[in-house]
Amino acid sequence: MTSAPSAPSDLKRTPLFDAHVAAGAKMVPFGGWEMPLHYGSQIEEHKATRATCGIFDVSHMGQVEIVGQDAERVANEIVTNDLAPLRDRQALYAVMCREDGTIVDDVIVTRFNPEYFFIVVNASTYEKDVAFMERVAAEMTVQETIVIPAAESWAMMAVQGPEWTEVFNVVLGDGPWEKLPPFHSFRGTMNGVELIISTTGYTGEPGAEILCPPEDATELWDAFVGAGARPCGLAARDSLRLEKAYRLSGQDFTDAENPYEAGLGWVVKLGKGSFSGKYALSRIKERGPEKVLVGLRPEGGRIPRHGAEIRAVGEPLEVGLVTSGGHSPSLHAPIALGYVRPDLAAPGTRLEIDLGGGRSCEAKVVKTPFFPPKD
Amino acid sequence: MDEKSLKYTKSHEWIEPSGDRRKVGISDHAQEQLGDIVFVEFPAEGKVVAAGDEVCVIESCKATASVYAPVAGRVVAFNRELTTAPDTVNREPYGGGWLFELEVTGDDSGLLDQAAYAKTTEE
Repeated sequence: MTSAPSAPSDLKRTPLFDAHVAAGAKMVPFGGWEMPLHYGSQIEEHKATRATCGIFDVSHMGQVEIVGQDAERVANEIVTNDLAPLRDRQALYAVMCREDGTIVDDVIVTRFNPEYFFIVVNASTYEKDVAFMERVAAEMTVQETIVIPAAESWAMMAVQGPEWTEVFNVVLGDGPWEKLPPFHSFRGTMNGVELIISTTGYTGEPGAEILCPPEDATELWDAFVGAGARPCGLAARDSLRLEKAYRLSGQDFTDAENPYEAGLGWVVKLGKGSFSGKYALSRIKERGPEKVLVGLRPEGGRIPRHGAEIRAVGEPLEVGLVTSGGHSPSLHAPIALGYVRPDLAAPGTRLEIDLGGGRSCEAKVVKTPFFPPKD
Repeated sequence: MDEKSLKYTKSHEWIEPSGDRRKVGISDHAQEQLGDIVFVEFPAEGKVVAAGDEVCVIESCKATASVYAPVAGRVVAFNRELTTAPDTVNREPYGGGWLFELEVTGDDSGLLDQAAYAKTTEE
């Protein structure tokens, strides 16, 4: 096997890079990082995660801590969802919005205690997210509370699938994580390694995300793989999340979209106190978004890709665009997400998607998640 | 199919080197670049094509790829097994993963031999 060439200077590598290369991964650029696309077959990796257990390197993602007396108030100003009901070690999904209501990023927020909030953000938006959070905090009057960018302190991996607790038992022994409900955390030191274990994930399977110091990542990864977790790359991660209609930041919504357009109105709590984007979002909710993200089931086997034009059947006018399109290994069929005019968003609506080269396919708007199917 | 004896195009198709009816497929390099192949769309049998015309479309998980006629001819058969097992193209790009058969009418002198094709795929 030839040794891997050194990375082009603009691509970062996670602590698990060598492990991926040794496992035969096809390495590709993603969000400024050199990441494993797959280790042979993305479909096999996808199926393994749904059937048993897969493991994903997500060390490229970012972490930000909000620490101090006013941590909850600052965190609640930054995100649209309401953090007040959170108990210690409980997490939730949210978005961060600018004053005009457009989305900066989607995040998972964990409250460890009232003075310590831990936020996981997307890899390609880390710097943008940190700048946004710091700016929001700087505009508030707070007592000794700071925003701490913490991505360099943590490696992260996701262990996902029906057998995830069995894999954990082998690696870490019987522990409190078996009783952790979804969206809860355990933090502690095991075998001298500081760990945060959070029952969150991006696959739609039961599972957990584990954070550890970068120097301990390889040993932990190898232990999980040895216990039966199958290494899975970004391609499987994408097909797994697409089957669940989880949004991909920067693709299913960008800096131009608001949460009501992106179908994320459920994480906007207009009833809570002040938060960034509140007034713009209440106006958008009142008058209704101008487009909405829907699930699409194309007919035939052709797969519409990002940017494909959507039309009402038989009409030339564009009514929307595909944001994510791909193959669903669980359904053996193409699936897609796309924005459409709100009057064409009802499940059952028939639309046409342009495939290029003068060809198109018909597609039906469907309720999501795509898998398991709702109808 | 012995990949050393096949003829190739710069667009990663291979074609049997001789005969009136010749099988056409994509190279191992091409299937590796595409990743898991999940669907192949064929035209009607009997379609007449010029060299460089699109004959069929391959969908992999990550990309859509057109497959072009290496030489002019008539599409006389396509590999029906790929309807149920499109991944055969990944596993046996030179064997069971052949795509279609061309009744060749055009000139094939512009095609590459394996060594020349391999050079085009080197980085």
